[in-house]
Amino acid sequence: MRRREREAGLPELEKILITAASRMGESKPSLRRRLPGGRGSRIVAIGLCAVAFGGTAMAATGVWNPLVGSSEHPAELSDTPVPAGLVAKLGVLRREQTPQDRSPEVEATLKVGHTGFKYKPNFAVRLGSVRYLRPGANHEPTILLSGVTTVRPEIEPKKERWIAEVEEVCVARPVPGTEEAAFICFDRSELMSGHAVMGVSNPADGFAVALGVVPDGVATVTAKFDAAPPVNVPVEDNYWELPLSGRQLVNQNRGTGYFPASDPLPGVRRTVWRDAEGNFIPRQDPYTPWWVTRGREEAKTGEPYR
Amino acid sequence: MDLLEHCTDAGLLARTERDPLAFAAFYRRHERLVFRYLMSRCRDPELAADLAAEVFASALEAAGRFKPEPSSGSSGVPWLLTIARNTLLASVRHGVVVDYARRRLHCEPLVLDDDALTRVEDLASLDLPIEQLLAYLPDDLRDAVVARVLEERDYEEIATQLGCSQQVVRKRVSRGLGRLRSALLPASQWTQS
Repeated sequence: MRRREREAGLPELEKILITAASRMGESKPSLRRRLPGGRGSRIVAIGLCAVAFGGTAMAATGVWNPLVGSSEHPAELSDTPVPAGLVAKLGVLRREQTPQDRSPEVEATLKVGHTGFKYKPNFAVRLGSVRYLRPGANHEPTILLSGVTTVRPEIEPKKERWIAEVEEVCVARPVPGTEEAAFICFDRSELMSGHAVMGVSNPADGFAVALGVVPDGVATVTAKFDAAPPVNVPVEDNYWELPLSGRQLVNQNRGTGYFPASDPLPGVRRTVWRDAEGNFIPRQDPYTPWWVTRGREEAKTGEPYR
Repeated sequence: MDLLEHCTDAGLLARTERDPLAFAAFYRRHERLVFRYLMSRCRDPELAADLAAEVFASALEAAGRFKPEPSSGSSGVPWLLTIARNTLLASVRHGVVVDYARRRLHCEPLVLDDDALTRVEDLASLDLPIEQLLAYLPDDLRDAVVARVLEERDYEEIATQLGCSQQVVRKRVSRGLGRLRSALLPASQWTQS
């Protein structure tokens, strides 16, 4: 069965709820002040940035200031470094940012990804982490970037002391037949437990793909289906993508558990990691929703993406 | 194209604090169910809309604490209907539609014109998609109802597949249909009364 969202019957109420949900993230101190090591100091942030990239040359030089999101709803930017833990897990972030990573095509994807950015006022993009992954059908490339979401404090006054920053690695994937790019982010637990998986579809155009981000060492992802034979998908730049059709699209949204563990996308029941020799790679962590830890790990270690 | 359409309810709620659009998708998915539930009990579109606003505001506030019941998979329907029921009872007890959650979240007032009120009535009178109806049921009842009612399979075959007696299957089908009936009164019953 395919779950399709429709237009709201009462968009007036939907709008109020979106505004309320967005406002939750706005009652926070400024992002830079609270980021580990940030404390409002640009010099400190630059210093950490070099450490975070493990001594690799810091990308293409010069100022790069593309529009992220739409002009009406630009995304917030963060000049904080990509956490060293995340860089250590994703080789694509360890390579230099090339001119291709800053090309007009990439800028187009950053711009058309506005649906994802529009209502994420608490999400800040790191431009230095933007990486070109692969070309799209109409030259719009799929891109990867890192960002940080600041989670609102709890409503109850006694719990206001915790304010978590959730480090995320995101993929913006242009969708053929639309003016949009699907934009999806995964936190550390989703990445390391094999749940950084998502489906993107445009039923009107007959387009459906499964995609995902995996840590270093994973050379092949085996996508398993309920009603179709498993498919091995090669991983490149920590990213894999699989076009779906026929019985691969059967029987989604029937699992239990948390997104995206149970039914991440049309048809795919689960994925298996394999190394370059075809050996099975066990998941490195159990999946723990970020809100279970409530940022306590970050508070303890100062390193949210170990 | 809606990226969130493939998320489970649990997934949407877990992501709500990071992405308000996730809650919008949750709202759209269950809007008709909640309006139908509330309209079947209060029979007034303005009142139902006011109650629904409080129900969804309460759900928004509690989204981060949502834990799906083992019997209902990742569906948020039982949880949402429990919120709706509690909101309804609290409002009856106080004699006014409660607005605790909306006040805490500083929600704007919901202002509806005649056209919007007509849409509320339409929402409550439209047939619910079968998937949404079935999500109301625990796994064991849902499997039995799907196999018997939708797939029109024999009790014997279903019993063999589920590893239980035919009597158990019959009971599950009966209980499943009974639950659906009690939760979702046909529109004709309340519009005529």
